[in-house]
Amino acid sequence: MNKILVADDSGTARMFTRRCLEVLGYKDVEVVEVTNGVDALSELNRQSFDLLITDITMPLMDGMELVKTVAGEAQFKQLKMIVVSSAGNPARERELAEYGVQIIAKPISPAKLSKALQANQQTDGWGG
Amino acid sequence: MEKKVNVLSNAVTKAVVDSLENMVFMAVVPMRLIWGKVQILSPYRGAITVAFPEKLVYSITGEIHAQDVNSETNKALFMDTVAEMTNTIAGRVMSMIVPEDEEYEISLPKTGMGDIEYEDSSCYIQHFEIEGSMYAVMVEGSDLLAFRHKNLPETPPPTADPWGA
Repeated sequence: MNKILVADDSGTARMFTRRCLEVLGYKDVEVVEVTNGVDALSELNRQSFDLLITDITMPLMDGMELVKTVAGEAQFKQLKMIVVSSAGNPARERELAEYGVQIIAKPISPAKLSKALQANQQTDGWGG
Repeated sequence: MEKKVNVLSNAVTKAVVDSLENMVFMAVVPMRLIWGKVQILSPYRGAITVAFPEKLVYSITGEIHAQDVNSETNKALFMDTVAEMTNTIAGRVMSMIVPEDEEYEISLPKTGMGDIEYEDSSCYIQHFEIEGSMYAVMVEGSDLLAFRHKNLPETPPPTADPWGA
């Protein structure tokens, strides 16, 4: 894995995610941070990423809309996606699962992230 | 000329300081809190507030971001820290009390410094620090809470109230 995009409007949350990646050994991976879904899409169109880790609640474009938009574009077929959320919504989680997205309940931890990454590796891009 | 004085806060502060200093010879200082609050929107209604002593927030924020922080230069950073922790804690609480197959919704966190804003106006809590530990006094009842906003002739604030409300 060479490049990860982290989308979250909280700098603290992005730092937590970055630290978890470092603990898991992803020290040499380039991590790009954005604060909303619109900027995330801009970055995804601008450069190639292996993984998107996104929060749900963000300004301009939330995580659900970001995931749906990405899932609808063939150019992002190989992009793995992980959603980090503080709210429980079984219907939303089922919908995300259909896109092959892994869901992590906050607080994020190296163990949870590792599990999600391993689950992602078993899928072929999004949608299984 | 009159000014609004938090008579209740002044009274509680003076009472706590005088009592603890005379009873146990311990120095007491009002504790400045930094708090985050989320509204619980569904399936229940309510709010969850998480409050931290100011110094602890600086320490936590510095630890997370691996930098020295102080109130003047990093306010946005440590308020973001409190917001994120509040959001996470509230979400965890809800995940443990709401049935697994049910949805719950919480608001975006609101943060603040000093007195915590309570939805239920019949509750007021004032925090103090004694030898590094937190000590709290809770006042309930709208009659007593009314003393938070009294118009009084201007007088010098008590020396034990650094915020001079």
